Amino acid sequence: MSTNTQDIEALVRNRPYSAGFITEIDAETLPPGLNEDVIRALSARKNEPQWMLDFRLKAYRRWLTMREPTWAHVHYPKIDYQGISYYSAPKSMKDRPKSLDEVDPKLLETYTKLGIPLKEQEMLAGVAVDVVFDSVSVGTTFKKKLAEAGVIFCSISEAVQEHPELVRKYLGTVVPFGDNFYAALNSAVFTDGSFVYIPRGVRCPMELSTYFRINERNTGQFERTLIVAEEGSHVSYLEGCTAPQRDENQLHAAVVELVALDDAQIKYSTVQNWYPGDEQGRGGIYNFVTKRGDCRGARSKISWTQVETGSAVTWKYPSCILRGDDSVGEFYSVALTHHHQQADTGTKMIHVGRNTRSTIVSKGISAGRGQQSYRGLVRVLESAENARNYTQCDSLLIGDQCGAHTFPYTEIRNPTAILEHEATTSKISDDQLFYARSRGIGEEDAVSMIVNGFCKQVFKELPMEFAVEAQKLLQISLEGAVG
Amino acid sequence: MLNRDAYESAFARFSETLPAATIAPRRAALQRFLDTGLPGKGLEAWKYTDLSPLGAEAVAAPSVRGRPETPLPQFPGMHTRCWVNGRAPDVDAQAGPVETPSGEHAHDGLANLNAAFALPGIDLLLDDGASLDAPLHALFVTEPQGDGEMVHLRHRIVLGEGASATVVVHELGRGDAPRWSTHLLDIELARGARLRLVRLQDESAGTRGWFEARAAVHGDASLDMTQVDLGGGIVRNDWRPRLLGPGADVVLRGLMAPVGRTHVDSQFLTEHAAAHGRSRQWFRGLAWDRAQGIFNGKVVVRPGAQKTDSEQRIANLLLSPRARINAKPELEIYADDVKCAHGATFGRLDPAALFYLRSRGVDEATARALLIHGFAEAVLQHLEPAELRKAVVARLLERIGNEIDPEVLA
Amino acid sequence: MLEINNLHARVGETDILKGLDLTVNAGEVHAVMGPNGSGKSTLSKILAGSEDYTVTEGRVRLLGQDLLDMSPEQRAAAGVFLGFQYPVEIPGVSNMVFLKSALNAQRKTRGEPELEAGDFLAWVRHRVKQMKMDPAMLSRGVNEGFSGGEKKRNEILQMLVLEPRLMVLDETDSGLDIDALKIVAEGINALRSPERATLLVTHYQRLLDYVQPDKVHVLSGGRIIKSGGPELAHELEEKGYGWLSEQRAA
Repeated sequence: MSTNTQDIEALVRNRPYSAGFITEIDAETLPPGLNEDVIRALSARKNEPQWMLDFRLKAYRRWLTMREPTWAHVHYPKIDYQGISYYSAPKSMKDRPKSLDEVDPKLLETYTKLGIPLKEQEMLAGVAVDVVFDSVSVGTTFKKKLAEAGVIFCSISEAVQEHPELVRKYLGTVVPFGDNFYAALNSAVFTDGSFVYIPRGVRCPMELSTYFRINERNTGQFERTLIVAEEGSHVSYLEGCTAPQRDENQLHAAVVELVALDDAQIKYSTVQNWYPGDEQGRGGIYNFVTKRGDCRGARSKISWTQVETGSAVTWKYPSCILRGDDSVGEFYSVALTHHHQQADTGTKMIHVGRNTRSTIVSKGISAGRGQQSYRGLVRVLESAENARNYTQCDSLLIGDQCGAHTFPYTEIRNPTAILEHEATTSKISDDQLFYARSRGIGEEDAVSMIVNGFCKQVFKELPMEFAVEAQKLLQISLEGAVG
Repeated sequence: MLNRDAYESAFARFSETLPAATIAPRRAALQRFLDTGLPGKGLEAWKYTDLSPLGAEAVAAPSVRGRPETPLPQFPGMHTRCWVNGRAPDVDAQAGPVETPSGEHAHDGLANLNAAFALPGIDLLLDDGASLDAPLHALFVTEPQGDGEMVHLRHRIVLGEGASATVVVHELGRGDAPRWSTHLLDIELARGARLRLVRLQDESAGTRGWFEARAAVHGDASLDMTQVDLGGGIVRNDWRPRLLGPGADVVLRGLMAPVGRTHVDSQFLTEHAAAHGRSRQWFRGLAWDRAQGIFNGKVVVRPGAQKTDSEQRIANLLLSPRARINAKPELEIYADDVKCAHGATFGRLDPAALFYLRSRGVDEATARALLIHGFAEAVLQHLEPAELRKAVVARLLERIGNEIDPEVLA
Repeated sequence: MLEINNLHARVGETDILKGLDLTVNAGEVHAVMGPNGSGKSTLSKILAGSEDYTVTEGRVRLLGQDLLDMSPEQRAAAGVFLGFQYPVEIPGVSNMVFLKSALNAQRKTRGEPELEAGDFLAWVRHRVKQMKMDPAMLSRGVNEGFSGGEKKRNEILQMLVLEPRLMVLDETDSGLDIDALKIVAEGINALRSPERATLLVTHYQRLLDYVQPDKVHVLSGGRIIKSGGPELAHELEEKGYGWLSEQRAA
């Protein structure tokens, strides 16, 4: 509520999903369907080296032997993987623009509408942005300034061309190509995404961020992000996602890999606002994402913060493998499901090294007919002397048609581990509502205020600009949940 | 691979003791078991307990009744009935007709195995307003004569409106031979009925045991259950109470204390199907040596079960470097006006408390035993009468190889 | 200013107010006293619009407007302020955000412009100082982790910021030590003006030593059974409530 109320109301009045517009742009899209030829064509189009194609084909062959996971608490019609187009790029991208000045103005306009004015951003804000439109990256800002610090921030396609030794060294080492059904699919067909490399001892001079947007009909988005933080380096990375309003469901199956070496720190924040479908549950994005961070080095730290308000179905467990001694993993999450949205999300903290610590704070809000599950795993291996974990997961229910579920798995194999887990489920308190209303605050505002308070622990982990955006999103997503 | 021949021939032998008319449904259950096999990998509910490899082992029909060789435990004020190798001395050894699994359990491998071979166990029916004059101590002693012997029992406790009873289900296994034991217990509590149930599982190290209790708890009825797992080899317990009317109250308590290579997997699934229900799950786990303890507590609140009040508390201690504990306190909630909370902790004996005791002159072994007992007491204090509690504590200390006098703890 | 006529209210099946009449004129301070369970808190909550009670009969008017048809937030905008007996905690929502939202929502409803951030801040800081509170409290959650006394002080702070027309203070003096009581009383007195009215709902005389009432009413059995000047409060302090009911019974 630190934002001006008028602002929010203007947004609400506009339309519930303000990123739902479609950009009319000529696109070059591969016909729907998936086989080895499609993968070869995709790889050829991107001018990839043989090792990259081999990686894709290996993943594809593994994927063919795998089955879609069914253990999550979500229900959706079977996905026709042959009905999806695995590559779509704006035509004007064919001859890659050398700089943002050469980017199709229509594309730039799209991002301005989304509140990410690439040009102004470059001029004003201290945030470097990589923008991914359907299957390709359309541009990265602040490249030069970052290069001066030795930081590499570019699209992953570019990294395959320009920094093959780094990509080859790390790609698939955190999320192996056969890790799970969606990760295997992504490994076979990923089209673009971001690559970040922070050299030894460097504190990245600015926030890095990527905006993902799905525009074309019938396309899936399979982005791949790889962040490597060398010894003693620090980086904060933000990710935002939107998609147009369409009646059919669209698949988004991303893979994100983070590697933190000794004393390195990676902070990864997400505001996920994919199109959630309409009030009847038609359309919306299937967000099936594998995100994993590897605290490979001693005293390294990886922190995930996510605000999930979009998508029809979410299946996502940003995780940390705490391999290095004294390494630290964190997961802060706010997930909101309204109307017919379903989310099965949480984290995995795998304690391998000594004195490893992890913190999990999950806040789930369910309204309308939304179904929300927290699914978490804390595993302490034999080698993890003195591991510590604290988990808190709270659910808030708005209305009697929604559901909130908690599935916290704990596996302990070392007697020196100390773990605490606390969870509560409740509805918004009538007393709190009455108190706020008796001070003159309208019911809907009071609800949104209380919900924001409920989420505070997570919001405070977000970089400033994102925290404001997250609060707005929450308020818009809760529109109509009361009364 | 399931050793189909062994199960077929065991059934052929067993069916010789059955009245001809009751064989067909049991045979059908056996067939369904052979089709599904033993539960394990691929089933989320059996994630940590994979029984399927055991299907390859030989099995045999239960041997005919024997006489227990050693003195049997008895508790003052209780009425003890004893089953030996699955057969009650005072009941005709012939097993009668059996209800075969249906509905959600139709393809439940173990339930079908149980149905094929089930022998009559506890059958307690109380009329409206009736009560048992003394707690029933149902003792199941097993002394197998050969490898792979199976004892499968079917129990029923039905209490009429306002009826009340206390039942102690006590399984005592002797000998080291590998063997199977399954118990399927159906409980129905009419309005206002009260059942106190204690289950002591003290099976032999060779026992692969499955115990499932399903309970229908109607309005204002109360189920108060305390389970202590002391023994067994591979043990799985499923408690599935359903709260079906307003004012229903279900308390499930559990203590597991596996040692050696014992594997204990307890699952509490409490389902609130009506408004104004109250449920509690209190569970404590201790694991030694290379033992593995699993606890999965789940509370489901169905649509319309408003004003549900539920709480789960789980605490675990790992006492050896190779011991393992897996636990999962789950909530599945489809109603908004509810108060549901759960908490879980994992840790070891508090070094500060140990030091404190030792600084007062208590030797380390005793200090450890005192702290362990203190931890277990949260569950054990609900065992009555005191003689029963003392017997359980003594057995617990014996299992963990501690020589301290249980009287010290009394 | 406030006119209550023949007010009947119940919670569930229990009648609590049974024909209450009360008029408070602009500029006046009235104290409503009475034994526990007499319906004092019910009266306060009904004025603020709590949905826990059902009004079965009667009328409540503020400045000529019918209050009973209005939602709690409409009443607040119309000028009603209830200082709660047990102020609720709202974790994660800072006092600053809460006050700003409340003030601007009320202003908006009344068709007044919202305050600029800077003006608002200065205004709140001024009131915090007046209540001798630590400005750091503004960034803490609403009543989160506050002691009983801090909560009551926070109620008065909110009142000073919102500047209502009708101040209803429900047992505001309970849980306060003597210093805090004085500060709270100063806060209340600061808002005394010819345009405002105050209703002090209290069990004890204590607060009335610092906030002089114009009239004192005794509420018992869901009705005002006696009204008088400030001296009535002293009499009650000396004799308790027993003598009144005996008098009535006689």
